[in-house]
Amino acid sequence: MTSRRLFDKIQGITISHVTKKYGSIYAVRDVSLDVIGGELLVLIGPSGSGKTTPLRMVNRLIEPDEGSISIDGQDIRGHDPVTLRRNMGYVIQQIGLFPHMSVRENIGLIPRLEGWPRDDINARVDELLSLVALPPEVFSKRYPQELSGGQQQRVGLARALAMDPPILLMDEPFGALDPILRMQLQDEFARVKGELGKTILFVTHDIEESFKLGDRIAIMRDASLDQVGTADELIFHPESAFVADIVDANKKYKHVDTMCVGDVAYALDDDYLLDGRMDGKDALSSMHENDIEVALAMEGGEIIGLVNALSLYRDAQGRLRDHAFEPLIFDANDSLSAALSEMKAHGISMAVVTSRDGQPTGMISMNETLLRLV
Amino acid sequence: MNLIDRVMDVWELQQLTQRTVEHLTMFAIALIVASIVGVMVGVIVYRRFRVATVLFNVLNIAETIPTLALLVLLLPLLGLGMKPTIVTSIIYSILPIARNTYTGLTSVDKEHIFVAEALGLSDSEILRKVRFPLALPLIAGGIRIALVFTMGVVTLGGLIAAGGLGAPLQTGIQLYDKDIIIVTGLWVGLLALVLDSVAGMIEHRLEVNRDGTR
Repeated sequence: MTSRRLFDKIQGITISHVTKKYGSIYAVRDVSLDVIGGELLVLIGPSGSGKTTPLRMVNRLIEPDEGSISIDGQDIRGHDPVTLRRNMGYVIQQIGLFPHMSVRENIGLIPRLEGWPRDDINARVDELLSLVALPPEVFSKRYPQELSGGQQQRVGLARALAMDPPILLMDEPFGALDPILRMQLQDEFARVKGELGKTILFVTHDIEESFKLGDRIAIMRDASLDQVGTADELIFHPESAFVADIVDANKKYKHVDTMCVGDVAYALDDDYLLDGRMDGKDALSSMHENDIEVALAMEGGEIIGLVNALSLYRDAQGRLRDHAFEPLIFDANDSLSAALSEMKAHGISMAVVTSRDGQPTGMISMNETLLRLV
Repeated sequence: MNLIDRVMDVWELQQLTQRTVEHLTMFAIALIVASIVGVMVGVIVYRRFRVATVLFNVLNIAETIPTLALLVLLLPLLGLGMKPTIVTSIIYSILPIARNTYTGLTSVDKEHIFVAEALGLSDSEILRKVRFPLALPLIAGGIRIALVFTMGVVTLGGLIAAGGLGAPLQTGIQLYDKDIIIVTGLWVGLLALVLDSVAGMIEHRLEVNRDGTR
């Protein structure tokens, strides 16, 4: 069946006094929330706080017992659920890919059901794979089980974008990934988010993730909404002890003077070290294999520079060293506040951390560090 | 007379080539029809949940009637020969295929169904694009069980003048001719074995595909 395109760019989603009860337990209780068109709104809360329920109400997977939801002033109950869902992208934790379909079939599923011509589907799949930095010629024929967790997650995102929906619903999309990979994918997503220009509702239990990605953050507790605001508002003006606790407001800036770079660095394993003399394309495929976004080009124990997969993906001609850019390098014992201000001065968000003998041992991300401190 | 000559003798006298063609024709018709009907029954039962128990009980009863009795019961309706043999095979084969289809369709991981709904697939699209392909290995397993049943019933058809390889076996038993019995018996056994292994290979391939590591 083919379904109509309901909206192009939306003004906003209005969730108005919704309540949902399972037996005697409230999943959500009188929750009202406005999502502004084009923003990324994070729903955060402990498990059982009801944070996923509003998300699933927006595409009618759950129907509220009371209250209503409207998009651009139109009640969503006026839309057929299937049509409505095809006008929204949905990303879930990694199991979401269908095991019997290749990457191409997974991404092209809805366009195929919508009766697109085969060539259009293929072109769209290639375009989306490139957007999530998976070379189509390598990945389109693979099956989900042949992909790493991070790659599956990217395919999941590409599938959600297949119909170019104006609304994206993301249900703990990075929840099942390990910390470094999660950080990389968050960075990547923060970058594509701007290009997409979509209205995004994002559920997570990770406060750092919500600070990093969210334009505004809605904090849920016991089926109710506690506070909605930007990260600054929540940190500096928490309205309840619960909010203050979740955002760790009392800890802000507390330790920055006593900490050194090594305290907040992420450890690097050998996968992140590549020989600067190797071919650019080989380096890219090695990075894909190990599912990493950034790597260090090394030559004879010396750091040549940082390389990132996205720029290699755009151009990998010649040797790896030609694509490396000079990173900021800190000793693990350097003062953290000094390091951060230097990074800020250079406008660089990532730096390399070395041990006393100059060997790279880790990486430090400015955003991540600031989030940990506040 | 050496062994090969004796085998060739039986083969030609009993027209085993022609008998084999008859045998496989009945077998193929029965299995194909049973597969189509069985899968359809499985899907219908899946869609009409309440029908499931009733229908499976009826099929279970049919399954308990001895093969020979069913063959004979059908004689007044369908006469002698191929027809009752094929119909009996089909009746026996529907249950395993339908039951496996139903189990396959209902046992698909809930997570996959949830995602399919969230992406905007309608119920019938979920059935066609998600449940059915994921149920294929189990459906193939049901057809494989039916294959063994069918081979047996078709051979019994020799009793009611259906032709096929059951006919020379009957002749052999009545004439007490060991050569005919052994040659035909081994040949039927070999055919069954080969067909079953081919089915096994197909089933295995489907399972492997489902895991995505072809």
